[in-house]
Amino acid sequence: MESILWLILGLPLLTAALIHLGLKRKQPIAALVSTLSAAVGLILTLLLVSKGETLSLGFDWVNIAGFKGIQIGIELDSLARGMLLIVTGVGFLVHLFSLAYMKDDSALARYFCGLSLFMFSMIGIVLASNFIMMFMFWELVGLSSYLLIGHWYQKDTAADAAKKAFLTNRIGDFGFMIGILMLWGIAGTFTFSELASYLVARPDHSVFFLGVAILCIFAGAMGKSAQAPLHVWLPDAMEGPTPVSALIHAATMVAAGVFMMARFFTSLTPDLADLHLIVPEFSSQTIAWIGGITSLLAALMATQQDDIKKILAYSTLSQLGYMVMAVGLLDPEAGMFHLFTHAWFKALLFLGSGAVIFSCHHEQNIWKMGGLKKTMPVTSLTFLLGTLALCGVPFTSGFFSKEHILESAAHRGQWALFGIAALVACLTTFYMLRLFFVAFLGDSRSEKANHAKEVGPLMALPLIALAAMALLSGYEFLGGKISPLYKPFEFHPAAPAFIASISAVLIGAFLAYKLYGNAKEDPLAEKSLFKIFRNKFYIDEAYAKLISYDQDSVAAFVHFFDELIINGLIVGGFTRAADGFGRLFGRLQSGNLQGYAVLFGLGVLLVIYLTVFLS
Amino acid sequence: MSILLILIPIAAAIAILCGAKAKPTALGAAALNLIPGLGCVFCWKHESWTFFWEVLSKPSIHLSLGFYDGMSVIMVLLSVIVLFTAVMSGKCPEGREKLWYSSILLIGAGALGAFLSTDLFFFYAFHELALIPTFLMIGILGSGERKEAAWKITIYLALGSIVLLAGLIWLVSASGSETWLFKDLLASSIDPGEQTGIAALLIVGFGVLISLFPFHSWAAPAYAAAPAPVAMLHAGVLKKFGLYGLFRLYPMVSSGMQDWLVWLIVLLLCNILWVGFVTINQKRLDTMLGNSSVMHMGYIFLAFAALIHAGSFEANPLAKPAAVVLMFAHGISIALLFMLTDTIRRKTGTVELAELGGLAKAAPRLAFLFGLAAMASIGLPGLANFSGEVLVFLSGFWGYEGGTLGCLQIATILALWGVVISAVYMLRAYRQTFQGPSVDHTNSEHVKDFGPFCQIPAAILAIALLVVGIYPNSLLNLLKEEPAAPAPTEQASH
Amino acid sequence: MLPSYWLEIIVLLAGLVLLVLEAFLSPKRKSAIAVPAIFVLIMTLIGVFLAEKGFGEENGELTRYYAFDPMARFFKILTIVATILTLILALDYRKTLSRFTANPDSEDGTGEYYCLFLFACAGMMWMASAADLVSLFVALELTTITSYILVGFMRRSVGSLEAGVKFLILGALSTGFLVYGIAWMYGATGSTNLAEIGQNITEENATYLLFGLALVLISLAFKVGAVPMHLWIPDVYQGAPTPTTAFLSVASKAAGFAIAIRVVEPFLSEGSILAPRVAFILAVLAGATILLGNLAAIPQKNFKRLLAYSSIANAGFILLPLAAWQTGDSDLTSKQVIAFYLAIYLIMTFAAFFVLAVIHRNTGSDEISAFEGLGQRNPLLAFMTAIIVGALAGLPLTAGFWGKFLAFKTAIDAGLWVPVVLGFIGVAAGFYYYFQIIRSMYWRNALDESPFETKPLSFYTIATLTGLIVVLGIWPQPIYWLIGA
Repeated sequence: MESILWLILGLPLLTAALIHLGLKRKQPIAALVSTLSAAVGLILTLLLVSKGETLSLGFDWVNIAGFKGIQIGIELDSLARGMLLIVTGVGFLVHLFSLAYMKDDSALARYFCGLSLFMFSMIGIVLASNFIMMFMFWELVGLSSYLLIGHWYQKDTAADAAKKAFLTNRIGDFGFMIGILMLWGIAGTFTFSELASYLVARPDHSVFFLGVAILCIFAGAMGKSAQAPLHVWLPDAMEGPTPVSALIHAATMVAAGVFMMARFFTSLTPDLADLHLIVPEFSSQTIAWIGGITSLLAALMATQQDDIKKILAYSTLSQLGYMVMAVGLLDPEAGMFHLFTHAWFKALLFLGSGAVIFSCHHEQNIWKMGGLKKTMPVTSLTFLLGTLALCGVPFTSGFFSKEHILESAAHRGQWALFGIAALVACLTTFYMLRLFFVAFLGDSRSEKANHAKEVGPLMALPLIALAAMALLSGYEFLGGKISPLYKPFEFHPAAPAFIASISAVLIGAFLAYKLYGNAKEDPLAEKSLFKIFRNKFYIDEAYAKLISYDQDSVAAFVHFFDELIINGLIVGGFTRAADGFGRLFGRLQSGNLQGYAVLFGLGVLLVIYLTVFLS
Repeated sequence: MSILLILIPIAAAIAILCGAKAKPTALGAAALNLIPGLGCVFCWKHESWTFFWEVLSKPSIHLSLGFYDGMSVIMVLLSVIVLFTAVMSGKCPEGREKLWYSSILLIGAGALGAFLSTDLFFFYAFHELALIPTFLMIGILGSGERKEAAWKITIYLALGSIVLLAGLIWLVSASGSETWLFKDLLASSIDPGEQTGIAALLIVGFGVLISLFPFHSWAAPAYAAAPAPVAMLHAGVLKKFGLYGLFRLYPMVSSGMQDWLVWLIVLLLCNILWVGFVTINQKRLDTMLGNSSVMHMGYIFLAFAALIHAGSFEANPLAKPAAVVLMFAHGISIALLFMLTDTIRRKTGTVELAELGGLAKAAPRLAFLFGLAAMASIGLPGLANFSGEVLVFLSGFWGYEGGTLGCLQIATILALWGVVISAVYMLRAYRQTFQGPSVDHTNSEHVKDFGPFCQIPAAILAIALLVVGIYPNSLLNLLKEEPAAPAPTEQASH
Repeated sequence: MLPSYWLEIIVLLAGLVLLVLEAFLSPKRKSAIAVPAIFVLIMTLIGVFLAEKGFGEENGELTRYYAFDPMARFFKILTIVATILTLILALDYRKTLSRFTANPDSEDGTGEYYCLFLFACAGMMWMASAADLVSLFVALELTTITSYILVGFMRRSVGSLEAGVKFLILGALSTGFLVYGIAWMYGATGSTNLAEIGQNITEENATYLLFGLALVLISLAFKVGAVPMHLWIPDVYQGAPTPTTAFLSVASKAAGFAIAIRVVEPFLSEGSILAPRVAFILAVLAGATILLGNLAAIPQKNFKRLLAYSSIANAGFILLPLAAWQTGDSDLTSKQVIAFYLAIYLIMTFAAFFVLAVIHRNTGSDEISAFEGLGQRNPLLAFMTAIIVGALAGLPLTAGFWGKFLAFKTAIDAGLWVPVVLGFIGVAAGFYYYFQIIRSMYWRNALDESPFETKPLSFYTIATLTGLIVVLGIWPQPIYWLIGA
């Protein structure tokens, strides 16, 4: 058992190392090796899930006399198992897809090396048994996403996007580290399994600072899960290859924030019911609202994007907002369940868009597509399924998970958030159908779209598999077994959540059909309000200005002062003073004898005075 | 046996001056030094390492060498590794081999001597010995603003050493110890009143050598102008001398240091944030690295501040290990960075960020190693610096029981922001240099990936970074229990 | 065995004899006279080690005037070695010397130059043993008057003459103070013997004694070149023939300190009521001298003048232990520290002057700029010069460091904080101006690339001295044996 776990964790790292050191020249082999290791990972994971036992193990990473030490440990429970399955499952399919999608890339080996590295880091996060270890792998997924976004580093946009992603995450991690440190002070441990008991052991801990610590830790999640105001990196991250977007920036890494919060909250108390007794109100509220606002903003932005990947990116943002909101509502189960379903259908959508882009020769603008359902039936069908799941149409997986979130909002009496959630659900349906109508229905609006042809089996297979998951993963017989956290769904036709979600879907669908049923170009493009959406509320621009005006000018200013004060005045001052004294004494050395005699005399008087008369 | 570590390079340097073939001799000596250097890790507590010879009867001063504790072992390890890589990677200008290689070896010998001395006097003296060739190399074989830079570092460090010497003499005379041996000094105690003054002198004296704000303005220009091996050895190894000294002598002036804690915290924050911003604003790769190395000293000082705050090694068991690991890590990473920067300069003829770009296309290996080093220096987990930094931050929060944050905790939080800052400038530099489309400087035909003479040392340093990063216990185990080196008996001497 | 007081007599007689013989030498090779002179001195040096007190109670009268203790022995050795080195230096300097004397193309009339050093040397050896103010005065005058001639020896050089005149007048002035001071002390205690003076210090005569002592100190300050009597040093050093300069800055400074120790010892020793006052004035002098000597050296462009200031600065550093006046046996006594410092100082300074002479012979200038490009033109010489200059600056692992180190240690043990702080400022300044030499040797390019010839005699002397600097830098114990620590 242990060996299996270590293998699952270690294999991708070995693969990455092997590829980097040995297989740089033999690109196809590298690709196969990497895919193979992903497959092995998936199989082993299925083994674990079927066994379904929980255990924890580890070894000392740091031990110092007088200090509890830091472990590299593995905490295997249903949460970890489920997440592991998502990671390896989606991971494997994406590997498969990439084999076809990237086959002409000149740096195939580097790409798969990056993928394996990512698998390693992500699995590390999932299995981590304590905060320090999680932070380490946390940063490592950041690195691998940096590498993969910047895969085409010769493109300025890609290089910048990679940098932006890393730096934004760094800002989040800044908070994360503070949070870890504070929590360490408050609870006295990093280890999740000890957290609850330690907190009980210290009943007199300050509630306020615990809340602050939780918020700081959440800052980390904000970075990774791209919550406002740290969301700006995710859309740019679409510069990376599309399979990467599917794996990292839709299914797994961006969800890591939610996973981490879930892991954190579930380990705060044995019984989730009294989570609200431990987590201070103000911090949970803040989290929930940040989630809600993010999901709303992102949904609004999504309505006016033309780049197929950008639309999906913003929808990812808004879905992540959903999950975070659920966490903030102290219902991590709902959050994780949505994460679980979302992983499948969002991966499906991204891979689908990948297929489209691939066969449209890297055309990404939906207005230059159209009529793809004729030319690419499989892709279109699977894509449709994904869309429905995302919209939360009943009997798709998305429906169940969304219900849970709406319910918990209602259940906590957070009607404002409930309203937001409902509105977002409606918007989601709207922009997703807009995408589908424009890209797949009607007739093709460009040469490239005309010549699009159905993708090969290697790409179709993952689509189909994911489509199946998108449909079924919500049901008890599947989700109940493999979802990280699962809450059985009970059906109340009169419940506000149900009504809201249904009506949201209907309204959204109606509007989408009305506006985009058979539109040649965007009817809303000229509306000033929608311009704001199109331009993402000008947040990116604002940041760019902020950085250039704030950070850079501060830097320049400080540098100037460093030169002027430290270097010029103080240092220069001393030297000049010494020199001046020297010249002064030099001047006494007039060279004429009378002068000397006089000074001589003065000296004599001085000495006599000091010796005899000064006492 | 420890004397070998010093004699080998010195002998080689003399041989070179007397006309032995420069490069092979130097390389051989450096390689030979690796044997005891690495060997000591396994058996450093053994009697046979100590060397003991009374140089002066009164004041009683001994040339007493050996490993005082795990810290010395780690610093020696660092020195031999960097020395070897510096000798191997350096590209000597035509006809200056004698000066080049003998100086490098002498610097290395000085550093090793300082870390091996268990006598305060030679601890100081060896460091000075290492400084002279440093000055000469920068002044004679440096590039760019070499004269100004060399003159500046000379004056700065000379003054620093003077202040330091004053502090040391005062320390000894105040301690009333018979000898200058560490073991006797640390056994004695000093009256708190005097401690304050001594502590001030030590902080300033060592501070200048470590480029503690505001005594830092020598560092960047000097490293920018210095020949790569000198930059590697000074930034990587010699600079750690000051920190090593502070931690070594701390127990004697613990209460005196307490009086300067707040000042020290302010200064180290300036190191991290102020200099950090200065670094962001750098337009050249080499000055950026110079400033970044100044900035990172702040973290090690943070560990020292944590130690002072706690009051003793036992009261904050994390502080010293944290500092030591970070010293090692920073030494290795900055050495690697300077080495690769020099390679870039040689290949493209410039280190102006604006003139570079897309280098990764022509030189993927170079790009990879530079990326590794850059990631290390911004504290990416899995690489040595992270192990150090995380321990430093933990030491900053040691004893925080929840509730309001103390000044040390706030300092730690502010210092954490430095991690973001360093990511900003490092990634900017990396993006400017290696990514984006190639430019004239980087796509000319003679720009190609580097050869074995640079690759092997680079690989060595990279491996060191990985080992400590993946399993810091490999170093920490050396620090586990801290017995003073076996007291040199008369049999042990000569 | 050889009675110690013969040593002075031998040297004196040798001087007279050589002076006579010199007349018979051919005008071409007058400088040959230096060789027997050196020989005699070496013999005497051996003699010093063999010599013993050689007089007991039976001729007690001599004991009043002439002491022969480890200090005396050490200072005699120092003086003799200094004189030998001076003569060697003079041998390589003879060209320049004869250029400015009677007859430029021969060595006519330069013979005396070499002999005169012997008289000065004898005087200094005697000073080292002077136990009584009278003998002290006589010995001092023997030295001083000789050195007037040595300074002004180059008749055709205006600089040398001017220097001679200045030295003569100011020297006479200080001698006046010395006599006056001695008179006061005698008047106060009724004795000229220092030991007796020490015993007769009482509340009544304290003031008069102090007055006398102040005057004596002034003239001693003149000898060692301490503030406020330092003014003559730069001009005279620069003007005088280089061997004379070297001789003055080492030998006569050493002798000056020898008698200074003798004079202040009774006042500072245990139980003397005047100890604090005397220590105070000495500390003041020390601090002022250090500060002034070092800071004034910073702007100097001329190496010879720089060395003049550095000799002032060193006088200050040597005054530190004198003011600190430690007699503890666990550490070195002040006397030993001073002796140690002077021994090191002799090595460094002579090395520097030899280098100066070589530079001068090659470039015809004493300016620091004359060193430019020495790194390329003569790497070995440059390397040695670097070591020498480093030693003067006081770098660790060179001999120069130990001198300053011990001086400071003594002062810190005695708690002389102000002078110590000034001292460290001084050392810092020292780094600045000494390193300028290194800078111009290595970091500046030569004006002409022509290789640089060094006469074997000078070269080997420089090499030996540099070697000593390094060896003693790592292992100073041998000097401890000399000073009997």
